Amino acid sequence: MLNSNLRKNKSFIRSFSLNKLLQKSPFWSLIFWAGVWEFIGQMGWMTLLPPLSDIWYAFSELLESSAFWEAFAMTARTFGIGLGLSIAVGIPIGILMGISKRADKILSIWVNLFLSAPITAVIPALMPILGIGDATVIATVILFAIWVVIIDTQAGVTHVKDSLVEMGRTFGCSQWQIVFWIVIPAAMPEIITGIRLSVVRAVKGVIVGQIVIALIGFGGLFNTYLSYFIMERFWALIIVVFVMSFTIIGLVELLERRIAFYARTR
Amino acid sequence: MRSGSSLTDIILNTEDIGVTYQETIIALKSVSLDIPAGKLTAILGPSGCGKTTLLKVIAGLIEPTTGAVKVRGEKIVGPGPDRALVFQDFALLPWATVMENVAFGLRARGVPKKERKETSLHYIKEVGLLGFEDKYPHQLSGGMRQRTGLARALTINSDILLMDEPFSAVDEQMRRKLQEDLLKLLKIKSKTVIFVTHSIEEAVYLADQVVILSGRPGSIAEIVCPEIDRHGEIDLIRRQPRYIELVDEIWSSLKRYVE
Ligand SMILES: Nc1ncnc2c1ncn2[C@@H]1O[C@H](COP(=O)(O)OP(=O)(O)OP(=O)(O)O)[C@@H](O)[C@H]1O
Ligand SMILES: [Mg+2]
Repeated sequence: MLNSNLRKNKSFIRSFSLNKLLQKSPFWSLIFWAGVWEFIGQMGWMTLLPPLSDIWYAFSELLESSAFWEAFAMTARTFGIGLGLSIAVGIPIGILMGISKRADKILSIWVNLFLSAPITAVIPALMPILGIGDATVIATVILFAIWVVIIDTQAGVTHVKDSLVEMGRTFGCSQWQIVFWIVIPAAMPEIITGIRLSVVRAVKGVIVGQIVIALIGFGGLFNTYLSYFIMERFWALIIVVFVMSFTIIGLVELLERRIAFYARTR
Repeated sequence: MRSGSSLTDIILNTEDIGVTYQETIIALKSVSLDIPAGKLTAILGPSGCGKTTLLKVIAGLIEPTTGAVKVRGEKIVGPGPDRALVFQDFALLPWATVMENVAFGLRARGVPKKERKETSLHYIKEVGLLGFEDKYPHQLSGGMRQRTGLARALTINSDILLMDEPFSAVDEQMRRKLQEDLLKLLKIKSKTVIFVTHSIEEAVYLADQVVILSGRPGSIAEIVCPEIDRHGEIDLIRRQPRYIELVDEIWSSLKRYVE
């Protein structure tokens, strides 16, 4: 009796332990670390780390500044164009590599090379060619995003069941009909996965590109805030960028889950 | 082209077919075969002897290394509307409904949508899938998927129906049901059927002509014409002395190729 009471008590205490709380939901974890941040900021130990409440204030300032919205527009534009091109060009290349052995032989070394290459190192080389502006950022986004689209599309196409293609042939389908009616829909789950991964990479690409160039968009803003020591704004901007990235990636994952229907039914 | 009695009409024949994969694997060797019109021909043989290869050559999916396939005396150069293939793994599009799957062959031929739907519905009814038009393949049982594949093959109304182990992916009861349905269907339709099977019983029960292939490289070991009386109860047919005799006969000739 006493023993069981004690045990109950113990578990009661345990359920209120900090550890449990932090594990329970990311929300509480977030609140906790925000508290730690505020505390350290208020103590004024590090000039680089202002209190979170100041950043919150800078946040609203940031959203009112035209420089922010210009940078935002440029980011959205270059992200959209770069990602769009990656998908629009990557899928046909992937299909081609999946269908034609020769195309695969010629291209696969390069695709695999760029897939794992440190693309960031290439950006400075792009600047003299493409100039300091949208073109370089778009190129960066493409260099980050396109390879995974190609690889996944190719994997999808090569895994299409032979019997489906043979079925199309027995009914006299043309090459194009087989590609559009059978191969592409059958490869859809892999293509969608490729697109999702490429969105994640494109988000990285658009930010990294701007930061390396350091004169335009968010990269330019980061640079200005850092060099004039406007740390509140600097952190506010980082938070904005993080939130934007997570939102986009979250949206894409949501979308993929809805289309995952294909993968299940294959 | 021969004419006269339909019993001896040869609708399709293969002349000295040989297939070599990757220049070293000889799958088929000089297979010459006559397929009588309106009859069921079963291709029987040990695993890996080239049954599927032979069927695909006849379908026009594989170009033989030597020899030729002729339909009514004309050499084939690929798949054609005179031959329809029913696939062992059904080959249904998983993202398409039963209706869309059945209509696929008609769509490939550019048949207008309305007509496509009507024709498909007719064959869906014929194979007993009415009410399942809007289901997806993963919502169907194995037998229903096989029927969908069969309906799709029937839509193009070809004279020759090729089936690769059509009843091997379903359970025993469903197999018997599908076999009976096939026989029933053929009574109305008068089609020439060539089917590959592993089962001696199935071959004897269904086929007018049983082609026995030897082990790899596949060549014709023997051709048996069961000629059993298929009228009346199935179970009675299976108890006919002629039926049992044939099964034994084919088994003893096949046994040599099975280690
Ligand atoms: N695309 C291919 N490339 C190389 N070898 C092949 C290919 N397709 C089949 N083979 C070989 O040719 C032989 C005949 O194959 P096939 O599939 O026609 O046999 P099968 O009689 O249908 O066998 P099963 O009873 O197992 O279905 C086998 O030994 C197989 O390994
Ligand atoms: Mg086979």
